[in-house]
Amino acid sequence: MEIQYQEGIIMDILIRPPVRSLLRFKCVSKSWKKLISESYFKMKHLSHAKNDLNSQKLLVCESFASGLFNFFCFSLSTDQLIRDAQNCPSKCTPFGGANIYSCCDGLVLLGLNYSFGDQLLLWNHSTRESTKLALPYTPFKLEYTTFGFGYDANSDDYKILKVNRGGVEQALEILTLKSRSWRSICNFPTIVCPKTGSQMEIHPYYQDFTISPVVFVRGAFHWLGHSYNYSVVSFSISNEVYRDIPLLEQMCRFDHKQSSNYGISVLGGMLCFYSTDNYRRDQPVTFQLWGMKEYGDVESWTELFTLRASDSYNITPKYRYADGDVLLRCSLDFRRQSCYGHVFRTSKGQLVGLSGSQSAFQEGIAYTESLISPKSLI
Amino acid sequence: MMSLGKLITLKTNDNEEFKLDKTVAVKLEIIKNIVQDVDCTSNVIPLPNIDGKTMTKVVKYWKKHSEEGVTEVQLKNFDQDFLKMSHSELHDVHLAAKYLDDNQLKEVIIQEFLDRIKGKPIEEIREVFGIVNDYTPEEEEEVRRENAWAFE
Repeated sequence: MEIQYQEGIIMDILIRPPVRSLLRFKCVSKSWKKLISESYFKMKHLSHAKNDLNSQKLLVCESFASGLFNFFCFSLSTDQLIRDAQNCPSKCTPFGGANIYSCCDGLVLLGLNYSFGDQLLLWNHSTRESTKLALPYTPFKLEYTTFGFGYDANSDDYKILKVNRGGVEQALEILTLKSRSWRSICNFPTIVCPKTGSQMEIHPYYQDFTISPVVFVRGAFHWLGHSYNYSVVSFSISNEVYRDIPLLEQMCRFDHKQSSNYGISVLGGMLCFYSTDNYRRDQPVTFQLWGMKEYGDVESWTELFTLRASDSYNITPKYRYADGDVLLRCSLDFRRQSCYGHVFRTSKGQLVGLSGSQSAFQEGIAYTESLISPKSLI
Repeated sequence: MMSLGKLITLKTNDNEEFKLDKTVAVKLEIIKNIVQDVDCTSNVIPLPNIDGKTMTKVVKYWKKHSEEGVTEVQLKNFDQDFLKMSHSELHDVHLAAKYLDDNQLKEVIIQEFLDRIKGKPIEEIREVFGIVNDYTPEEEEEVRRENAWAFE
């Protein structure tokens, strides 16, 4: 018997399965294929996925000393690793490694390093689609440059912001995907130093050959800035206005030692700040995580937890579970262990995913699965 | 305004009547709205989009889920049993739940549909939704090839 199903009901059902199943379901009928390919359906699927634990994944890029690297992902809703290894989305293998910069709506922004130059790639790991992006005017180097990636609801466009370490190439550049061209942003954020009364530029925070990442939350790019002190710089994606979000004095408590690492991230939609006092032989490192409970309200910076770790250093938070536990990427201390490399573990100490992968550099980013096609955005 | 009787009568499009305790019925948005908005002195609420066969199932579900002292396990067993119906009956109950704005029942039905198609071959998914394959074999093969890795 043939039943006449209303499209609304099919929609209610089809916004829930994972992306992989939906790609299979395109074979069911022409109307299903059409529905699954519609952009309003993709948006509905995404907004459901954002609140669905099963759609939360961690994409990991694992690179080896040989220059080879590969990607895999694991589910953040279960303890098991669902290894879904994939080759690099690019045709030829980069020799200088790959960098995961940023992620928005299931799309990952990748930087690939080739002998003939660099490449910026937008990649949907869930659908395996990728597209090459225009390169910024000034060349980017993995250790000097970072990129933020966000969605501007005002112009219904995705934008990428390039932030360089201070110095000669400090200019910011922004790419609106639909326009396909980069534009320089000439003014730099400034702050008045309370001691001298003079205007100071706020430079992106840079330490140990890494520049702190640019995160996107509440319609603005954010990065850690450094002037006479540390603060979070926000840059609105729609009207390109800077704002300074101060930190509390006790948040930068390692400053005097000159052996600390700071960073910001977004965990569960909350702007977070973290610090690690740098590794010193025979002493455990201290990692501290702060969250801004009310966005924009400096008084609402709250210490989420402090962790002492004796076997790792350089700890960065990646994802906050519903119970408050946080997934951390830790560099293993090669002086204390027979190997070095990275592990992902929770703040309660549980190892996650491909743990103990040795002699490999691992970087990871949490993302929500989506059907959005990177090609459709440019 | 409706009189304060304890029972509410719901009348389906094939004139079947269901007498329900008011405390059960007004949990539903749509019934609450009708009770408040319509000058309904007879205590009979017409349900023009639902037939008696489907409403029997819906009422059975409501009664069990508003039973006093019913345990989680009992409800789980009941739901399991309740969902043993044909694909088209399931579809009808979904339509009714949607019309009655009963989100809980709607969720249960959607989850059942998802369970029925999870990991199933394309042919079986078509059966669940009564879909006639409108692809030519060549067209279907092409769509399958485009997404070949999803079938691995």
